[in-house]
Amino acid sequence: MIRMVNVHKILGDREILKGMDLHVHRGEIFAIMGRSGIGKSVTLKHMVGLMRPDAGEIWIDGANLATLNRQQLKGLRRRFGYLFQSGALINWMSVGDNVALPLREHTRLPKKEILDRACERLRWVRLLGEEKKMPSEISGGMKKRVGLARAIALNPDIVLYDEPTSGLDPVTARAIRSLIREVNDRLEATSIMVTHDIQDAMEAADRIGFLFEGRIMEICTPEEIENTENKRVQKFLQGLGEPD
Amino acid sequence: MMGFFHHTGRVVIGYCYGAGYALLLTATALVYLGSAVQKAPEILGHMYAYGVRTLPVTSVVGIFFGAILALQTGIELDKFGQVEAVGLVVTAAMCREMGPFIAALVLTATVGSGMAAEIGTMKVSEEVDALEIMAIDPVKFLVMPRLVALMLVCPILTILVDFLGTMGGMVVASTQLGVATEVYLDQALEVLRYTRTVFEFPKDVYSGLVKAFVFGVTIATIGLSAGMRAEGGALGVGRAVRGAVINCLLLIIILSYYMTWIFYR
Repeated sequence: MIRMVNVHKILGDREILKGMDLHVHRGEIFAIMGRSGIGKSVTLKHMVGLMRPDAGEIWIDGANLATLNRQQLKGLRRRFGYLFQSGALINWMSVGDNVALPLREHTRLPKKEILDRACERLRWVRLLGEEKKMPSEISGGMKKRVGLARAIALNPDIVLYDEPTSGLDPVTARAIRSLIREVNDRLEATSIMVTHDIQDAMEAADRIGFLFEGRIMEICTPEEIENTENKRVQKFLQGLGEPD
Repeated sequence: MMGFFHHTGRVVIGYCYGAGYALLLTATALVYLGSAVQKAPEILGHMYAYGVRTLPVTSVVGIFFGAILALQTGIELDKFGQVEAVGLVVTAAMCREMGPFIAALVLTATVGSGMAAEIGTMKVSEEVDALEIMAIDPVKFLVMPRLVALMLVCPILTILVDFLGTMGGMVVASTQLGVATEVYLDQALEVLRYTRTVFEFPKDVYSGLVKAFVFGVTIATIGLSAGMRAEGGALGVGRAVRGAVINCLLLIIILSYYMTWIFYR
């Protein structure tokens, strides 16, 4: 479904990705774990073409991103849903309008149907009734859920999550994790989330990839993680090593 | 020495890149003009925000500028026994130069800086990226409606400033300079009668309106492109706003000179 082959990326004077190889299968939830600033979000941005690799290839369902023109890339992006770390809601639009935005821009559905669909997505993320509120009037956790509702408005078959639970209290974080599973099952989508929170990966992911020094060093399932023999993964999970 | 060249080169390349980006952004926005009808409600909303909300400050500046102009020129004209011509001077100056200039200054300070801040904040908080990922072109969604709104609002505000400046001058002429209102108005209308050239439209007015249109495009282009290029959090947004205001002021005055040269040489 999604394949990154030997991807390199330099930002400023720092090489962020150093030959990244990754293969995500259709229908699974794949978590990319690693320390802050290691290149997790950069990896996601490469997958949707927001960033171009300096070297290497990215394949989405048989299409090489590098060979797509602007229109083709636009078409491909409609298959993606992307939950930003901050929610990235359009600040002058109400919650309902934010969720309805992709439907208004990309479908010819009647107004009523757009509203219904937006409300349905808000119901999925347990925010039905909040559609009139502005982004400035809701909490961080609610923003993420609205962001998720907007990301899945067009029934994407690939959903990307950038630190979906960072900055949230444990209860809200758990709710978001269960939403990720629920959304993936309902849409029969493929999901990739980047996180530094082991709970996210353990509870929501089917497979977990550990990103160290610009590469995925280890891939395992949540069940295998405790028995991993990779010393770096063990140290990471125990919170050992030098701080940033 | 190498450091000096390195720094200068970086600044020059930065300016060239910025200018190229702004031009490309405007060209792309103009390509989307066809969807302006579809975006009419948003464009009207922006026109309201840019025009109606800046009306008080524009009116006050316009009235007082006309008054100052009348007082300064009237005192000098009086020395030559030509104080009756003050209406002609004030109206011509307002329509040709000061009307569009004042409107542009007010719009730069209020709307241009606001655009840079608004779009810059969206850029640094990943809202622009979110639009791209939703396959919504930020140029069509954010830039085009604002550009069209400002290119329409600037000439409208200019007409208002022309009128209010002339009226401000009239008040000063009648109360301070002893020029009768009828004489002042007759002189003012003489300016408009004297220069009918294109479609029976006074040149002093249409040259000013063309300037205002160009200023509107300039302010929107610079403000929006500065916002779209903002990076680095609040600091970056602040830098974008500052740069946008400085560049707008410089370009307005330079363009004003060249347009005057084209119209009146």
